[in-house]
Formats: sequence, C-alpha cells, structure tokens
Amino acid sequence: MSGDAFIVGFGETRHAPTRDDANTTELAYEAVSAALADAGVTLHDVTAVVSASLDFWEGRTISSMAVNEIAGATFKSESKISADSAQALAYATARLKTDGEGLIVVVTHCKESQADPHIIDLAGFDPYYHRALDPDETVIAGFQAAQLGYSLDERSRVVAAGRKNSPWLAPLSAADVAASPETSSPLHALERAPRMDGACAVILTDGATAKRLGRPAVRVAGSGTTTGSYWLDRDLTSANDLTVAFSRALESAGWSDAPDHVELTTPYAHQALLFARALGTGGVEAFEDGTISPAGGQFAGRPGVVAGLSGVIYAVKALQGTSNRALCHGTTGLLAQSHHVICLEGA
Amino acid sequence: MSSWDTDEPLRLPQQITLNYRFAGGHHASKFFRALRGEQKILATKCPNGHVLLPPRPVCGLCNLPTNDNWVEVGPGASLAGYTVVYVPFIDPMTGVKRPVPYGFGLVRFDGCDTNVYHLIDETDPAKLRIGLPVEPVWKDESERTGSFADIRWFKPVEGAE
Amino acid sequence: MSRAVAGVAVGQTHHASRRTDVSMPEMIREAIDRCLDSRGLRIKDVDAFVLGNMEMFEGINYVEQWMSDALGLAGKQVWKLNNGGTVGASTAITAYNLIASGYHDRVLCVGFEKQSEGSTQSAITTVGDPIWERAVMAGAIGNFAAMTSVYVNESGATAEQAAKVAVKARRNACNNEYAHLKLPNITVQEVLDSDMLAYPVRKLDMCPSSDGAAAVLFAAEDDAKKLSPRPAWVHAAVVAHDQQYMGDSPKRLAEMRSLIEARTKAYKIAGITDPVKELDVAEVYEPASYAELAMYECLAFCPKGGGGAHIDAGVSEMDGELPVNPSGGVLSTNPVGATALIRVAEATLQTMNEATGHQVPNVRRALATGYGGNAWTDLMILGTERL
Ligand SMILES: [Zn+2]
Repeated sequence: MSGDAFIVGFGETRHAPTRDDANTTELAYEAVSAALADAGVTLHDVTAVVSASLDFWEGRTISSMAVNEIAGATFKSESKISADSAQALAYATARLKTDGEGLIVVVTHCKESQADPHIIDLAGFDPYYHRALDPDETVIAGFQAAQLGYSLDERSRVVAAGRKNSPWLAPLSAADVAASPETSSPLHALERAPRMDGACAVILTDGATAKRLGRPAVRVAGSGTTTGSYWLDRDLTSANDLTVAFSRALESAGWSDAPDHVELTTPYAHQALLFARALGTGGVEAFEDGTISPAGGQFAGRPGVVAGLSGVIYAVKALQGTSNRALCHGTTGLLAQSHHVICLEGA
Repeated sequence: MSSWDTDEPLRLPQQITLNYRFAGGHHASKFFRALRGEQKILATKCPNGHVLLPPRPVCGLCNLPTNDNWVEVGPGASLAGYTVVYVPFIDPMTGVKRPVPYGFGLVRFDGCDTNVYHLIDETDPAKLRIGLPVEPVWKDESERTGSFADIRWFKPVEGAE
Repeated sequence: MSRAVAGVAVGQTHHASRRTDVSMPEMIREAIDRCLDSRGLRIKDVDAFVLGNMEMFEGINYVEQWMSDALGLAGKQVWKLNNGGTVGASTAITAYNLIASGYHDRVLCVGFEKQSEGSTQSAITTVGDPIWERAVMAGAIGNFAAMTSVYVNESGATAEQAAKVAVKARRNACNNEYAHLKLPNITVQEVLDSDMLAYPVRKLDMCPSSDGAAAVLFAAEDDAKKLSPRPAWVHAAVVAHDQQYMGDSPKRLAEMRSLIEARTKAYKIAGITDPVKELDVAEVYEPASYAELAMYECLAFCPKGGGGAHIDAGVSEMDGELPVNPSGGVLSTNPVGATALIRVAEATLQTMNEATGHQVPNVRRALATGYGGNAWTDLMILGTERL
C-alpha cells in the first residue's frame, strides 16, 4: 500500500440554485468540516490542501484565498487547480505520493448563482474573432447537438434520468425537458444542467494512515487528462479527447479494461450521449437503468467545477467495503474542451 | 496618422463588464447588519481567545472553529501601518478616480488581534505613526449600504500625539 | 520513494511594457521555443504542461483552453494554475510533484502575462475578498506602502538603503538580455528624487508592469542528466500560506510569517544552517525595494532588523557573498504570471552555469521565491548535487 493514496472521508454541501445563507468561505467549510468528521480527523491533522475553483466564476483573482484558512492551510501548503475538481484530486494524489505520507484536504467550490453565465462564457471565447458576435456556450452547444442528431426524446430522457435520484432537486420528467423553451435550436433550456451553488471535499491519505483511521478506504488508482482543440470548427461530433483521457487513466492505473461503473459529467444532454457512445456503454437506456452515470452528473444538481469531485464522492460511497472499481469524469472549458478522469478502487 | 494607415501592429480595444452578486452568508450578514444599523464592529473569537476581524468560521492560528462566538471590538482603534497615496487610482468598485493625496492604513480596533485596511483622514505622513489612536467617522445613515465603506475613514483622535 | 527532479532548460521572452509586436500566444511561443530549442526538443517530446497566468488581468476565461491550438497543446495533458504573484513558482512546484511522484516524466512550466492588454490596477482589486476587502482598497501600491511603514518602523531601514536595492536591480538588469527596465546610470539620489507614489515608496522603488513569458523544463533522474550537462536538481520545494485576510499578519513585511515558515522548512530539508555561506545565489520575489530588505531578514540572510545593514555591506551585490537577483529581479521585470517562474528560471540558469552575462561564479546551490496573494510564499532550492 506504500505510495498509494486513499480517500478516507468526504463531505458535500446541500447544493442549491442559490445558497445565500453561506458565502464562499462558509460554503467550503460546510464541505470540509463534514469531510473531516467523516474521516475522524480534525484540521490539526491536515498536512496540505489542494483546491479547485475558477476565478471568473468566483469573481476573484486567486479564488482559493477564500478557502485556505478553513481547510487548514495556514502556514501550510495550499495549491489551486483552475479546472474541474477531478483534476485537483489527481494532483493531490501526485503530491501525496511525492511526500510518501500525509493527510490532504481536496476542496472545491462554485457559486454559479453569483455570476452572469453569459459573460463568463463570452470571456472564454476567442477575443479576436469570436467575441464580437457576442456568443455564449449555448450557441455552439446547439451547433453540436444539431450535428450529432440525437432526438429531443433521447436528450430529454438523459436529463430526466440524471435528475431522478438527485438529493438536491425535485425530479423532472422528459416531457418537462422537451416542453421547456428552445434556447439555441435544437436545444431546449432544460437540456443544460441547472446552475447551482455548492462545495465538496475529500480527505486523501497514505496507506498507513488510512489503516490507522480504520475507515472504509477507496484507493485512487490512477488518472488521466486531455486538453482538446479550441477552434470551433473542430469536429464537434468527435469524442476523441475523451477516449484519450480515459485510456491515459486506465494506463496510469494499470487496468486492462474499463470497469462497469462510469460517472460522466457534462453540462449538456447530447454530450452525455456522445461520450457514452464513444465509451461503448450504450445509449439513453443505459442512463435510465443506471448502467452509466448513476450519480446523474450535473443534471442531478452538481455545480460546474465541483461536479467531478462530487461524482467521485458518489462512487466512493458505492465502492466502500467492496473491491469494485469505478471511473469518474469531469470537464473544463467551453463545450467540454478538456477531460479529467479518475480511477477508483475499493480497498 | 492613425495606426490603420501604417504597418504598425494594431491594438484592438475591448471592454467586458463583469457583474456579480455575492452572498453575504452567515458572518457577513450579521456583521454588516450591526455595522450599518448600530455602528457596531463585531468580531469572532476562537476558543483560545484570538479575536478575528473579518469574522470567520475558523481561526487559522489554532485550526479551531470559532463556533459563532462573537465579541464587539472598537470603535476605538489605532494605526498598525499607514501611508499617504499620491497616485491616482480608479476605484473599480465605483468607477470613480479617487482624489489624491489620501491617507490609507492598517487599522487595529481595540480588543482585536487582526488589522483591517481603511482610509485615513490625514494626508501629511509626518502626522501619522504606528500606534496613533484613530476613530471611525461614519457615513450618514442614508449613505450606509452595508460595507466597510460605511465607515467613511478613520481620523486621528483629537489631542493624540 | 520519490524521484529526483531537475530543471533542465529555460526560455524567456524579451520583456517590455508593451509587446504589441506579438499576440499573447505568439509571445508565449517565444519562451517555449527558446526553452525547447536550447536542448533540441520539440513539443512532442514533453509529457505535460503546467500553465500559470492571472486570467482576469487580460480578461480571458479558460485562457489555456483558448490557446491550446496556438501553443501546440491540443491533445496534451495540461494543468492550469492561477494564484497571483506566486503562480510562476507554483507551476514549478506542481511540476516537481507531478514528476517526483512518477506521474509525468517531462513537464514544461509556462508563466505569462500581458499586463498591457488589461487593467492591472482594477484587476488587482479583484484579489481582495469581495465582501470584506474590496470596498476600501488602494491598489497594490497603497497596500504595499502601508506594509512598508511597519517594516521601516520595526527595522529602522532608511530610504537610502531601500534605494540601494533599487539601484542594484536596475544595474544588474543591464547584464540580462531579457530584462525590461535597464538603467545603467541610475543613482541612489535619483531614486530618492523620483515621484512619491505612496509614502514612503517612490516610483523607482517599485516594480514595473511588463509583458512577457517564461518557460522551464523539468525532468527526472537520468533523463535530466541526458537533457542538461549540469541539471538544477530540486533540493526543496515548499509552499506556505498566511491566514485568510490581508490584515491578519500583524507585522506584515516586518515579519512575513509564510516566508519564515517556508524558509525554515526548506533549509531543514536541504540541510542549510548558514544560508549566506551555503547558498551561492538567490532570486527573490521583491515587488519593491523595501521588500527585498525585509526578505533578507525573513530568509535569515541577516539578523532581524539587519536588512538595511545587509545592503550597506554589499553582501547581496553581484560581487558579494550571496548575490541577490543578478537578473535584475522583479524591480526590473514584472509580467505577473511569469514573474515567479522567472525567479525559478534564473535560479535554474545559475545552477546550470548558463546565466549568460550575469552568471555568478561556481554556483552550487540557488534559492528562488515567489510571493503573492495574501502573503503566500513558494520557495525552491536548486543545486548541482543530485540528492
Ligand atoms: Zn485562535
């Protein structure tokens, strides 16, 4: 077990469309304190912190300054990854392996309620050639959906399936999704995952500490990442960058095949279908029967950035006390330009 | 001659306006209600006695939660650091250029273990020193919005040397 | 357990107030190409990339994603950080951890900023906590000057002593092809006569605002030896924070708690007990002249309160016992997202004996720091000896 990294605790906020009862610091502390309690440790035991957040969404340069004190990083190390939180977990794993031992808090937070999504998207477009058109992500997502050609029925059912087991949001029927107003043809408003406020945290530690804590541990067996091409004339129907990230993750874990449990995280329903097809895990029925993304991804109410680690937490719950494996996925950028994949194994 | 008529590289201006609506949450809601309504400064106190402003859920010095333990500090205060600023600065919060010179400093409220930055009503650095007693000058009720700027600035206490 | 990691190649742009001759990606390519060309490498020879930049300064969200094609990173493994002045050094420390753990083999760190393309003064305000700190900020200079008063009060450092640091930096910059602000004839009197920006900090006491990029390639074990004839092995890579808010650290500059914490840990890891004797060169993140004096103290280059006497004695000059910032430092070159990586890049060059024009003789151990955000310190010690 030496040199390995284990998740021994996790905590998650009550995600909601707005959480005005907690500012960013308080929201993150809600997740961190729950994770510490779950692992049976305190802030005193923390050796380092790795966080994930995006400055534009937080409206703050160096957005992690809101969370270093509540995560136990005073006079210690905190490293911030500007990407989906699955990548922060990958970095925390590397950091732990370098040190050989330690107890790392991985924390991620996003308040999608506090920013204007259109402007955040706009700031992500090429400033020379694209911004003058005042685009937002929905426009190119509409392009992509049109090219992919999945039916409204299929797309709506993916959203409803994701929402079915949400701990935070009321169920939504496929008919509700299909009846929501059209945003960028052929897309309807509810095909875009809801904007949410939330935070989550996991406690990552070495094998000896995991054993000493005596909590059900899940090993981070490997991870992989791929950044795709920006230009929007790229083949939007291709999921090549995703499959590369998955194969990198499998290779890093030393796994010869993919496990049955795969958590996909995408903001749009048609992307979920595209990625599931690329991974060979089936179509809309696979989402409905829980073969793929049983957690429900962002459709269940996981905020962007937080989504990757939140999916990890769902998988960790399922893996505790078993020797099963799971793959968890997160994305960063416009139209899921980058992919981050985590391999988990019950220990 | 404009740069369009030369071979010089072009500069292409563009403006993006970022608007946010931040949640006050638990600590700030309590703090700014007391500040705006009663001109009271509330801080959180950790189990080991550190009095922290801004109020917060965790004391990093002790790595302990503050458990909603509040104490009132000030309004008496002293300078923990100071400067007089001479460079014009467009205040991005208001979009207005702040007139120079103006005093600016680190203020320590009596009974508090941390400092906060604020404006100082004195533009002669020779009249400022560390430890100088200062007191808040409040904006009128109609001008107070629930922000640290509800304190217009701190002025040296009359007769203090 | 963990693998030995070394800096093996460095590249940077010619830094300037305005690099209007190139777009941001074109500017970054200059640094990447110089770095890789120096070892006959191409992008395809690198496993992963760690990019550092303050995206709100230029107003480009997901900036690393936007540039993925222009930089040749599409399909690659990319990590993106943004944490203020420290970020460049954070890319290096991230690369170190990614390689030491065995996760990646060769990692290219890239730091960049085009300050001329954004509104830095406004963007700096976004560093403050939106609820607690922004309402009454005074830009980087006002904040810094208030901290400086504490240091001056505690140490008795004089304006002349600070001015000596300002002079040293701009003269050293003249020997560095890539530096931005080169003032060969600058005098202490000129610094003392320059405009007062915020008491007691004058114009020539402050760093400039620059456009520029830097790149450093890190590699592991024997691969590092193959790539560089004299690799700069990482002896220590430490990060330390202060508390959450800007006013929390009671003495600010006079007692930079995160820097003291980081140097204590790093010296212990590297077995350093007498830094002036055991280090051969330092590249520190000094946003203003006074800060360098304070950093001499916090880095234990001199006793507490001895920063002024340290510069008077010439210890940190090019021909002194422990030269500080032979490159000209932040006082000469400050493209924020690159600035702290330039410190690591210069320490790497010095260790590799490749700091053309400003090489300190016989460097065996070099120190680099990054400083930013709310008193956040990154610190690295590099050396010729493989540990
Ligand atoms: Zn305390």
